[in-house]
Amino acid sequence: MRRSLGVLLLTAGAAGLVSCERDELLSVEPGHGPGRSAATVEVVVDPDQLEGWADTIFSGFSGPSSATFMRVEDGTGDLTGRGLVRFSFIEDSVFVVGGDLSGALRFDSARVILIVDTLRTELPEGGSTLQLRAVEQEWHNRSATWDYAVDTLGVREPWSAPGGALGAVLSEALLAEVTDSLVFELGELSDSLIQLWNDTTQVNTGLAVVVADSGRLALQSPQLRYQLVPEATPDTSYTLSVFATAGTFIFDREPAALASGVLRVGGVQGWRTFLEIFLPDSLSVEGVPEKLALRGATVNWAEIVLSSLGPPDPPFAAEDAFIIYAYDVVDDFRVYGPKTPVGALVGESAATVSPDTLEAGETVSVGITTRLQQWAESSPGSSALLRIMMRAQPEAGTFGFWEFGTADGDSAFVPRLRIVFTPPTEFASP
Amino acid sequence: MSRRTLLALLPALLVLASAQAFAQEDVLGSAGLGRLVRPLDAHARGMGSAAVALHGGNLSAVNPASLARVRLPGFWLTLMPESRSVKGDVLSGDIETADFPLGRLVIPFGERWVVGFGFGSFLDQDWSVEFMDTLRLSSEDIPYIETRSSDGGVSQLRFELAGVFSARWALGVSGLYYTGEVRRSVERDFPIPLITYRSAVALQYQGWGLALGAEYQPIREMILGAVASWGPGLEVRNDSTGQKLDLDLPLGLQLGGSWQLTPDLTLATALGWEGWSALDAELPEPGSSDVWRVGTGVELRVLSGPTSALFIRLGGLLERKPFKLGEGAPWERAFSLGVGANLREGRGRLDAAVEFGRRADREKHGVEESFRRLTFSMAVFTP
Repeated sequence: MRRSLGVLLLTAGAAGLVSCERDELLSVEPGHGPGRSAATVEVVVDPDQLEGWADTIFSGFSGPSSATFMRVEDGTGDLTGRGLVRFSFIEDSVFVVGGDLSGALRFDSARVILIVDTLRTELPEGGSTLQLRAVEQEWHNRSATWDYAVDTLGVREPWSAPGGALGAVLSEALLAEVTDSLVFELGELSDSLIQLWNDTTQVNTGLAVVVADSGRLALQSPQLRYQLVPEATPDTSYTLSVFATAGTFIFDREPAALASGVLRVGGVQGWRTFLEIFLPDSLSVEGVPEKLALRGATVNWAEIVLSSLGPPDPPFAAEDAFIIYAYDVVDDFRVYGPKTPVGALVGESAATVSPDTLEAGETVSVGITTRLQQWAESSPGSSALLRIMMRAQPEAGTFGFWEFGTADGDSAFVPRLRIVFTPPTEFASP
Repeated sequence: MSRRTLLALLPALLVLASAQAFAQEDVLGSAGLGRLVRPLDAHARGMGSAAVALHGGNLSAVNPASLARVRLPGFWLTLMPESRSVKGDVLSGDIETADFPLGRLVIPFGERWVVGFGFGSFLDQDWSVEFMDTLRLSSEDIPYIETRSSDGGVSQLRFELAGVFSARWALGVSGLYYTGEVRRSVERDFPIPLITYRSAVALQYQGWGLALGAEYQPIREMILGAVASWGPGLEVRNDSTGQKLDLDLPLGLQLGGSWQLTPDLTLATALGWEGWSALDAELPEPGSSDVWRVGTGVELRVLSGPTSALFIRLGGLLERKPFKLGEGAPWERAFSLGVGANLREGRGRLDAAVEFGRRADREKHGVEESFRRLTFSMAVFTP
């Protein structure tokens, strides 16, 4: 009996395995296969087609001190900009393996080196002369402006003269052509300057990088490189370097006051655009007699289409390409203003703003598919609002920003919502 | 094999019953309620599906009265792989499928009664199609691949009782419980960054039915059989919407006979009608029509030993399917060959059949398919 049962079960098992070996897919001409599927449709929605669309901009989320560059400029007619740098805690000792380093040490042959962003640097014919100058007044790295050395909520201290209270010229360099680096030799001043910067009983007012004649430079990564020489063995030297502990730049112009009808993204001041879109549960689609349900649908693609107003006036047009990212906004920006809490990054949102090609009327599309899919998956009757913030990433990656039309501005430049979606298929029963 | 052992096989039967519901693919199965699959064994398949009355043990789940002729407790199982080549105006392809159309467990008790439990195929709705198309957007054209699938079907669980009422008459009754789930889905696969679209629904099927069967043996060499089946309804419930739909199950009548022309040669034939046209108004276009079926076959004993025997079989089947496609319901035409062996004085049986046939007509239905269907059955009986 057991043998019979065993044979039967073994056979049934083998048969079961055979039954799993299936190749069932048939190819069929488009649109003629059996079964049903809902159509995938595209809608481009203007703000006035929706029950609500609000947009606004805020700035101040970044500043020159958090920028990835210093804009140093003069004589161009657009802007005067000066870099401010401070070196502190400069290493004044050397560990020598197996050696005997004794006696006093002397700083020698110090030089300040800055990397030149060659793509954003423009020099006149014959080059530019740049100066490294002492600053004669204490300044606050995060709040210093053209007019104020300190400009915080509690303290506002103007410069003795607008533009940075410039003192003696410590070094001068001619940049005949655009090269990778700018070097200021401190020469005989090396030891006294570094000793001064390391003296914690004295105020370290730092240095200014200025254009002596004309030119526009984007400089990065200020570095102090110097040699440490033991007094007892002046033939021996040790080369060390240190990056600036504080760096910013000041400039003499601010963007024009905001007019209505303008959205801004990017720039050294971190302009951000906030949108609030009131989405209906269903949308009218061209060629479809009834509205199609967006709530419950699969959002195949969704994007906010921003329409460029063209380059902002100099010097505030973005001088280089930057990327816009979208973020979820978790509360009402009309209540909380710039302090409105911002949520997660919308992963597929990256959109490049290319100043060279973005003429007026050209569009930039910022993907918000996953955010809109979240909205579509929420139950009918839940919040109809979709709040999105758009910012440059990283912020303060460029000096200038870009401007786009708003919902209540010129109708030729209004932002739009473009959605490609597929409603749930209504399968036949049976 | 004791009765207790046979009862222990019940869970295995239930597992197979659930497995067989997703084991068949057929684009013809996309019409109406799917593809009607009868719970036949390889013995009947080899003889043109003439399963109403058969000499030598009729193990197909067609005529419940046939169970009365089983005198030993037993269990049997059928596997049915099939190869199809589909050609149509808008679709084409080759399909390999496998199915468990029948499993049955019987236990005789008393002098004249047999009780049985079994599962069988009923309606299979397994199919998948794939096509490429283009989504035209305002900015660009997006190519995509769409796959539409239907997985599952409706099976029948059979609770059977048969008895021998006289030397000539045997009667049987089957309580049929129809159950199953069909999951329909569509997937539209776009290139990145567009998101893939998926939508699916599950349909639950449930219903009851009854089959009454009789066998009359006027002489030892002849068995005549008749079966009537009917069900009050098949409920279809959409799991997503909660929508319910009640479908009438059709009345079915089948007649057949088996005539042992000589001790080694048997002729069998069967006729069938099922009133599926009653559902015509309830089903989506193009609806349904009545099933008509005629099958016939011969069996020749080619080897005979003290405890064993070997048979070869030949048959043909002509059947109109219930669910219309294009201009009407398609026909199935099949030619069958079979072989079978009785082992150890009837304690074991092995049968196999191969059918070659065609379904539908491309001119009328837009699609046609040729198929090769294999059927393997194995039965074990124990005193």
